[in-house]
Amino acid sequence: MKAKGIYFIILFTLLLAYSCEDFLDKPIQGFQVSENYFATEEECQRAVFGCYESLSPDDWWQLDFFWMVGDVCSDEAFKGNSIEGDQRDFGNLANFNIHSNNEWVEFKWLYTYATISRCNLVIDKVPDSPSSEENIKRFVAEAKFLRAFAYFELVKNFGGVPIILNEISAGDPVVKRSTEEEVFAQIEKDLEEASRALPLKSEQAAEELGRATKGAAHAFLAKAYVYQEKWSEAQIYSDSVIISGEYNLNDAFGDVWSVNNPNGNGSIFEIQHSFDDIYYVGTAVPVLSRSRADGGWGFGTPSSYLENAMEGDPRLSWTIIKEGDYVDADHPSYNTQLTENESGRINRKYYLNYTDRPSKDEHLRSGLNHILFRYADLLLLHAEITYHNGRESESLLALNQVRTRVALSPENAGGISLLKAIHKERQLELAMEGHRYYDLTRTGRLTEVIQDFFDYNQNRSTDPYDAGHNKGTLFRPGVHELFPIPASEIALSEYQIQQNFGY
Amino acid sequence: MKRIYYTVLLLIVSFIFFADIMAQEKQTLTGQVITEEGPALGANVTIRGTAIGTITDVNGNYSLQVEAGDTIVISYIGYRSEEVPYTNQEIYNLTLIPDVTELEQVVVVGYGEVKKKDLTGAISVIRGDKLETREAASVQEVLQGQLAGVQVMSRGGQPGAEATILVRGISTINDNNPLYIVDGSPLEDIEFLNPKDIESVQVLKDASASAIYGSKASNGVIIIETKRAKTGAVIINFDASVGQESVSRKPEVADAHEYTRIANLAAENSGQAPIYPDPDIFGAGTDWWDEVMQNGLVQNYNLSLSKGTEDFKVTTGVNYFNQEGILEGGGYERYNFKLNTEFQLTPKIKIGENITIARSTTTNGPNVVWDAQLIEPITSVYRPEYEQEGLNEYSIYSPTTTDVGNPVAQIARNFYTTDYFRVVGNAYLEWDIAAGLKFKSQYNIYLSNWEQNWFGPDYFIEQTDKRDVNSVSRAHNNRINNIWENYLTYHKDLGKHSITALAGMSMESRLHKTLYGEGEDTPNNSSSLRFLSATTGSWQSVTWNGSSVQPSNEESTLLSYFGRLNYSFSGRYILAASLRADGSSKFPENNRWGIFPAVSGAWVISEESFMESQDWLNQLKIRAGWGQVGNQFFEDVNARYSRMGIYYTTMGANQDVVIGAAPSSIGNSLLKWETVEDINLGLDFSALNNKLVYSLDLYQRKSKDMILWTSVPGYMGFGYTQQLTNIGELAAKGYEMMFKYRDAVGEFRYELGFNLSSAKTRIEKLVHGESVTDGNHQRLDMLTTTMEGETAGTFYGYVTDGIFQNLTEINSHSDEQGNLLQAQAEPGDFRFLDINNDGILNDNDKRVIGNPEPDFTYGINGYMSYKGIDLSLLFTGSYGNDVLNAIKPYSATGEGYYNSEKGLLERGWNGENSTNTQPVIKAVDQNQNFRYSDYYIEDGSYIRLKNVQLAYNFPERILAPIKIKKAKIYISAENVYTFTPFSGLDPDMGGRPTVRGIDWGHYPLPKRFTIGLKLTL
Repeated sequence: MKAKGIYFIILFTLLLAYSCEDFLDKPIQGFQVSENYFATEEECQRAVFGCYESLSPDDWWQLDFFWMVGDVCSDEAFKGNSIEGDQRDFGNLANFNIHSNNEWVEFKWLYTYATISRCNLVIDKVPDSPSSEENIKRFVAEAKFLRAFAYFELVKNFGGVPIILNEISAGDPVVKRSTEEEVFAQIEKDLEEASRALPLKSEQAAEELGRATKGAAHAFLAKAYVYQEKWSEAQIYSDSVIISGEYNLNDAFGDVWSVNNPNGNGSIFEIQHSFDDIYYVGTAVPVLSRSRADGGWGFGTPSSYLENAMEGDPRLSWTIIKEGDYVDADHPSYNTQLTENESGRINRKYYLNYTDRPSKDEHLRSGLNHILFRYADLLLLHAEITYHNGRESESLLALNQVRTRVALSPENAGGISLLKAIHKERQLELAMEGHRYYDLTRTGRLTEVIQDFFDYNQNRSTDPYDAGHNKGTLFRPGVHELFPIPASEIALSEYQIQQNFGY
Repeated sequence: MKRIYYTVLLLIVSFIFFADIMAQEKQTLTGQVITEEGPALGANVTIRGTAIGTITDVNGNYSLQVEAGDTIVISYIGYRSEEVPYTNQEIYNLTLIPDVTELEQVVVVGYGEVKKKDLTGAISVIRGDKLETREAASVQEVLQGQLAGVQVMSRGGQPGAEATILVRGISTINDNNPLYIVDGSPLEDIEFLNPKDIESVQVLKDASASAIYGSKASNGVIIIETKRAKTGAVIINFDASVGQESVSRKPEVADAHEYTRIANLAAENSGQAPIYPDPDIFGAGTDWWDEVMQNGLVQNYNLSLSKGTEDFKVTTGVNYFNQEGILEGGGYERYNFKLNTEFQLTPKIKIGENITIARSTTTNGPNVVWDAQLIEPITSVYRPEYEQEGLNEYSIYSPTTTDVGNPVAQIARNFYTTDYFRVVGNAYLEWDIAAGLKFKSQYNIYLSNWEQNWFGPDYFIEQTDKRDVNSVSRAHNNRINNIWENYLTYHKDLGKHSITALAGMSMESRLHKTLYGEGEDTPNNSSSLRFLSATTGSWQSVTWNGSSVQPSNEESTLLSYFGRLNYSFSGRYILAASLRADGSSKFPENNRWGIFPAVSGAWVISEESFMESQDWLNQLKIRAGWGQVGNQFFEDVNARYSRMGIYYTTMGANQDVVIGAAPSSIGNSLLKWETVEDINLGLDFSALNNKLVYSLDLYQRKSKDMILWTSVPGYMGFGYTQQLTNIGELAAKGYEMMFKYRDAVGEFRYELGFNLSSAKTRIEKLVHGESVTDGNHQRLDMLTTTMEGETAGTFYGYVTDGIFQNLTEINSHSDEQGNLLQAQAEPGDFRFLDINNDGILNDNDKRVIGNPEPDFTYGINGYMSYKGIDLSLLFTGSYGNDVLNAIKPYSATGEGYYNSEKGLLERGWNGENSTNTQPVIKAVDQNQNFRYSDYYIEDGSYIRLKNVQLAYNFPERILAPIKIKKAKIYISAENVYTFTPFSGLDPDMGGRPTVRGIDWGHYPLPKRFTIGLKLTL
C-alpha cells in the first residue's frame, strides 16, 4: 500500500510539473487585429475608406452637430431649440458661455484626431503592403489630404495643437502643442505632397467620385494660406483650381445643396452620404436643423439679423425658411414650432422634403452630402486673395461670377469697399453652411460683428421672434476667437498641454 | 392566496386538536447525571414542551413525574443537551458529553478544514440554523448584518434582485464581487442557491486566509457548504411559507391642488402669468403611486429528502420560490433541484457529486418609482372614453404634460423577461492513499443559459411617446466554465507537533458566447407573434458590422498550482503558509504568471502553563497574517489586442455603400495582474464556558496595479474608447469585531450577538492623476468624482451658504473689487461659496461635499427560546455615510413642471428670514439654485429592524404518535421599521464603487410578512 502511495505521488508531481503553457494560449476568436492588417490591397483600400468614414462617424453627435458651430457662434444663427436642457452645452457654445468641459468642443477634438490617427496608420502601413505602386501612392496621398483637412479643422478651432504623424501608444511621452505656424506648415506639406499623387476630378472613375482630388488639395492649400494671410502663395493655388476648369457655377443656386445633386458641378470636396435601409451611412444634419414641428430637433436657427442682411437677395429663400413660408406642397405654411424655437426660422440649406427623408432613423441615415468646399467659396477666396495682391479687376471678376449666377448686378467697387463687398458676398453666398464664425475670426471682425448683432437684438430689432435675445452678453473679445482645449485632454497630459488664453 | 392561508391555518388547528386528546397518566423517573469531572450539580431536567422540570442535586441525582410520550431534556451549561423519549423506564442515568463549542467546530478554509480554535487568518463563520429564520430569495440578502467584515447593500426590492456584497469594503474600483465556493466549486454567481439549503457560511477576509485562491481572492472568499445527509434513517423536510410584501414608505408628493398652486407661484415669481388661473378647481388628482403599487405575494416551498448509510449518502430536494413584488408588472420565479450523493466504493475510495439545476424567470417590470413621483397629478390615468375609440390597448392612456411617460401605460406595454437556466455542480473522487495521506480530484462545471426576450407593441400616446412599428428582440448569453482541481493533503501528529500539508493544481476554462437579434413589424401585437420569426420589417440592428445579429465569443483559461503548510505546536503556537501561482490567458505572454504568497501565525495564550489557573477563560488567542492575492476579474479577455473594426461609408457617383476599416479598440500589451496585499491582526477570546465569545480584527490593505478602464489622450484618436490599464492604487484600513453572549436560565435560553465592521478606503494613485467622474445625472451632470486622496465615488459639487435674504446680502457677496459673484441672484436664491476665492463662481469652486462610505456598518441579533417558542430579532445598520437624493433636482425645485414634494409650497422661501434652506419657488432659475451642491446630500445612516421571527415548535408528545419528528410554525417580518434621517424612500442602496449611495429612484425594499410551516418526518 505504501509503495502504491509513493508511485501516486510521483505521478501526481509529474502532472503538476507538466508544462501546460499551451493551455494558456487562446486563439483570437472573431476579429482582426491592427498589427497584421494591411496584408492585402483590399485591406489597404478599406483602411482608406475608414479615413473617409471618420469625417462623419456613425452617430449624430461625434462630428455632424459641430458643423453648425460656424453658424451658431456667429451673427447668423442661434442655438435654435429653446428648451434649455436640450443640448445645454450647445446652447452654452452659441451664447459664448464656453468652458473647457464643453462636450461639443471635446467631441470635435476627439473625433478630429480620430481622422488623424486613421490617416497616420495608412501612411505608416500602406507603403509596406502588397498593394500596387500606383495604389500605394494614391492611398497615401488620400490619407495625407484627409490628415491635412483634420489639422485644418483643429487649427481653425483651437489654434496650435499637438502634431501627431505616426502611430503612438498610450505610454508614449506627452505630445505638447505646436504653434499655429507649425500646424499650418504641416497642413501645407501634406496637401502639397497629396496633390502630386491625386487625380483631377475629371480623371476619377464614377465609383471614385467623392474621393480626394488634386483640385481639392489645391483649394484647401489656397484656404490655408488665406488663413495665414499669405496672399501670394494663396494665389498660386486658387489660380490653379480656377485654371484647371474642373469646377463651375452651372448648377442653379437652389440645387447646390440638393440631395439630388451630390458632387455637383461646383463641388470641390464633400462628405458622402446616402440613405441605406441597412447601414447607417447617412448624416444627422438635416434632422438636427429642421423644425421640431416637422420631425426635426430645431437646432441652429437663422437670425433675423441674417435675414435683414439678405433682404432682396434671391438666395434668401434658399437659405432661410421662416414661420408660415410656403416650402413645398407638403408644407404650404411652414410651422417652425415657435414655442421651442428661438427665432421662428430654420436653415433651408439642410432641409429635405418628405420624399427625400429616410423612413426611419433619420438622425443616422439622411442622405444629404455635406459640402465642405465648393467653387463659389473658392472664387470668393480668390477675390479676396487677388484684392490683397492688388489685382482688383481679377478680384471683381471672381466676385461677379458668384453674383451673376443668382442674377445680381455686378459689383464694381474698389479699394476697401471692394473688400467689404467680398466679405458681404461670402456672408450671403455661404450663409448657414458653417463658415461665418471662421471667416469673422480670421479677418478679425468677430468682436465688431457680435457687438452690432447684440445691439441690434437688444435695441433695434422689431422682429417678432428673436428681438431682445441676449446672445453676446457673455462674449469676450480676444478669448472667443478660439475654443478651449478640452479640460479632459489637459488633465490627461498632466497639464503639459496648455489651455488657450482666457479659459 | 387565501386558500394557502386557510391550508396553513387548518394544519395548525389540527395539531392543537391532537394535543388535547393525548393526555395520560404520570409516573416517576429518577436518575443521576454525571460528567467527566463527576456528578453534575444543578443540571436542568425538564419535560420538553412543558414547564415541568427539576434540577439535579449535589450528587447529580434527580426525580421527576413523567408520562408516556414525554421527552426528557437534560441540559447543563458547557455540555451538550440530551433528549430522551420516556419509554416507561424507572431509572435513567446519563453521562453528559462536553459541548462541541464553537472552538471545536470545523471551519472550511479552501481545499481543507481547520478547527476554529486553530485558525490563524481572519475568518467569519455562521451556521445555517441562524440563517433559517430568514425568508429571502437570495443568499446575499440573508447575510446582511450577520457577519463581521461583510457589508451587504440592497440593490433594491425588485423581485429577484441580488444584493451587493462587500468583504471589508471595496478593494478595487472595478468589480468587488467576492469569490464563492459552494461545496467546493469556485463560482461568481450563486443565484441558483436556495438560502434554506445552507449548512454553513465561512468568509475568508484577509489575504493570509484567502491566498490559496490566488488571483480570484482579492475581494474575499465566501465558502458555502450545503446540507448533507448524515448516517441514519430517511429524513424528510418540508417547508412552506407564504407572505405578503407591501410598500414600507410611501413618498409624500403634492396633490393636484398643491401642484397647480406651486406652478402658479413659480410663474408669478418669474414674472409670468399664472398657468392655472383657477387652481381651486383641482382636487386631489391622480395618486400615481397607488396606481402602480400593489401588495405582492411571496411563496416559498421546499421539500428535501436525505438518507445515509456507512457506504452511501444521498440528499435531494426541490425548491420553488415566487415573488410578485410591490411594483406592478414585475415578478420573479425560481425552481431548483439538487442532488448530492456519496459512495464509499472501497474502504479507501469515495466518490460523490453535487449538482443543482435551477431555472428562474424574471419579469423585468419598468422601474417607475421616479416617474410615479414626478408625473403631474392633474393628469388622469386613461384618456376619456370617447378618445379611446379606435386606439389599441396600449394607447388608451393619457398623454402627460411633462416628459415623464404615463407610468401605468409603461407597465401595460412591458413585455420583457429574463430566463436563466443553470446547471452547477461537481463530481469528485477521494482516495486515502496511506495513513494521513489523501488525494482528491474534483471536476466542477457551471453552465448557464441566459435569455432575454423583449417585445414593444406599437402604440400612440402623444407625438413624443409612441412607437410606430412594433419590434421584438432576443438575446442569448451562454457560459460554460470548467474547473478541474487535483490535490494531495498530508496530516501527521508527532507528539506535540502537528503538521498538515497541501499541494495541488487546478485548470480552468471559461467560455462565454452571446447572440443578439432584433426585428420589427410583426403583423400585430398578439402574444403568438411576439417572436423574431414573425417580423416582417427589415432587421433594425445593424450596428454590429452590418450583420443583423450581434455575436461575441470570449474564451479564457487559468492554470494554477498551490500549496499550504500548517504547523501547530501543542495547540499553542500555530503557523500557516501558502503559495499559489496562477497563469491567465487574459494577459500578454510575458505577464501571465502571478505568484501569491501568504503567511500567518497564532499564539494561543490560554494554552500556556501560566494561564492554566484561569478557569473562567476558554480561549485567548492572538493572530497575525500577511498575504498577497490577485485580481483578474475583468471581462474583456481580448484586452491586449487592438482590434480592427468595420465602418461603412458612402462613395462614388451612385452613392454606393463601401466597407471601411479602422482600429476600434486599443490593446494594452503591458497589462499585468492587479495585486492586493494586506496585514491582519486579530484577537479571539472566549470565556465563561464559552458563553461569551469576542473577536477583533484590525487590518491594512493596499491594492496595487488596479486594473482600470482608463481614458487615453484624445490625440491618440480613439474618441472615448478606453484602455484597460494597470495604474491605480487603493489603500484601506479597517477593523471589525464580533461579540456574542449566550446563556440559559432554566428553560429560557438566549443569545445576543453584535457585530461591527469598518472599512475606510482611499485612492492613492490614479492614471495620470486623472480623476474619474461617474454617475451622469440629467440635471446635475456627473455626480461623483474618484480622485487621489479620497475614497472612490465621492460627491463633488458646489457648497451652499444659506439663502440671500435681501439685496444687501447679494451685493455683499462679491470679490475684493466689488464684482458680484452671483450677479443673476435675487433674494430667495442660494448663496454659493467661492471656494478658491478667485472672484468667479465656476467649476473650480466645487469640492467634496459627501462621502458615500460608512464609518461602520453593524448588525445586532438576538435569539430567545422558551418551551418550544423561539423568537429571533435582527437589526442592521450603517453609520456615517452620505447619500445623494437624486430626485430632488426635479421634485424640490418647484419649477412647476414635474410634481413636487408635498408641502413645498409652504417650505420655499417667501420673504426675508422665512427660511435659510429652501430657495424661492421660481419657473426660471437664473441663479442656478438647483445646480449640483451640498443641498442634495443627506445623512444616510440608518438602523433597521430587519427581521423578527416568532416560532412555535410543537412538543414531541403531540408529534410522536402522528409520526412527525419535528413541526414548527412561524411568523416572520422583514424590513419592519427603519430609523433614518434620510428623506428618501430607503437609505440602504448598493452600487458600484464609483457610483454608490445615490438614490436613483431605486425600487425600495418592501415590508414583508410571512407565515410558515416546517415539518420533519
